[in-house]
Amino acid sequence: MPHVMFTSTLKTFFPNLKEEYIEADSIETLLSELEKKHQGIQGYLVDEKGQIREHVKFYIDDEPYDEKAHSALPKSAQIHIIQAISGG
Amino acid sequence: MKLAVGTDKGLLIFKQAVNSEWVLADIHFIGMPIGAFHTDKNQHWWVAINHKHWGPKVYVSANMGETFTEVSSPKFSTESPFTLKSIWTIESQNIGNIQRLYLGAEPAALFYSDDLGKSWNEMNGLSNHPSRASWQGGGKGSNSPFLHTVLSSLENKDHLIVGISCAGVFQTFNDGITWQPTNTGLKAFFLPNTESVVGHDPHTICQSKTNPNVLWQQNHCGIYRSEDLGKTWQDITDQNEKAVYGFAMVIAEDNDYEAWVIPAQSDHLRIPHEQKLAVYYTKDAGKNWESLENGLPNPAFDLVLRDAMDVKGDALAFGTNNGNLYTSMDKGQHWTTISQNLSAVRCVAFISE
Repeated sequence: MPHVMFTSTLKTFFPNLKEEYIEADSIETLLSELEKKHQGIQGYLVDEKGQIREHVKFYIDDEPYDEKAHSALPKSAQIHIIQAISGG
Repeated sequence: MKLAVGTDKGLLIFKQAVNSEWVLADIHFIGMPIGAFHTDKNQHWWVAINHKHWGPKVYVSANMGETFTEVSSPKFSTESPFTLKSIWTIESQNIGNIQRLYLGAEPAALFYSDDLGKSWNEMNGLSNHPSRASWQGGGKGSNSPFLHTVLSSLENKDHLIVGISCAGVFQTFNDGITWQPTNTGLKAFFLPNTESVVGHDPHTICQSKTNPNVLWQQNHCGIYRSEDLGKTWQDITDQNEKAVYGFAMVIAEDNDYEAWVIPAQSDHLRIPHEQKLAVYYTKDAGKNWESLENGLPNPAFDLVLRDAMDVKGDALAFGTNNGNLYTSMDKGQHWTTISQNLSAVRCVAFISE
């Protein structure tokens, strides 16, 4: 089951957020599962068209996630959700 | 009286102490860029935060800032080519028993909510206006047009006035279904056709409370006033060429001939004339403008943004892009420094207690 870790900044808005294992085979599924657990978090990570926000980055096993590649998530994936340095 | 000051690093609340000094009473949303602040008729505070990473968010406080609750943010539809970049203004209007909220957005759009921010609707008649292709990006390095001013009418709930940079002033008389540009008399010196129907840059628009037919605007290309609800605009730019270019403007609450602006030297030199920070004041509907600078610094390199000045009775306050905050209790005759150590000030609003 993929293991998800979050930038601590997100805890400002979701105080109960902590690293967790989430059943998901794609980033899209992962986002819906996260939304079920932490209502509203999807709007922090993606825009209204479902695109990952310009200054938010997902890393899968230390590699930056390419949204266009639509690659499947390995079961053992280590996922980091971080705020990109480009955002300031 | 309190003063809400929205900065790039949080919402600060100043309170007037017994000795009349303004003291910092509260800090909300520390470190976060405040996009807009609004107090509605129920004294609820509405705050927009334009996060650089997480997108624009909207909060409400029903207890004067003791606690805030996040409400939903407006969304462009899946069919729309746009995604929400930032929120520039929040307004409210009472329609019967409903309190309607308005959000002015970038890319330029007007959203409204009749359920206190649970859901938002886009006024598509404006977003899809036939002139849309000719709208240009406005300020702050923006490459998309944005909607920064919303004026609603007490008498006619179906009437709204908005300001879009760069498109101009638009009005609807049928609750947002159709919109007409009302820019006759304005000049757009940055366009080949300076008297274009659409394409103007109204930095700020104000509506008289005593005579709603009177509108004022600090435009990119001068200062204008209308006595026929914006059908026609008269150029009231300072003949001495001081009060010309600027962003902030406020008008008196009890008459329709007094106004204050804070000019910059020019579009190209966005600092005060001769580096002397000054508020310019007219008491005769723009026939004459006088400089009010008693207590303001010289030299200074400040610019005052469109929502960064407010008036309440004889009290005025403004904040600058360099994080300086000033107030006057006598219509600008004397100015006092509240702070010179803030982040860039985006919006300033007096709050009654």
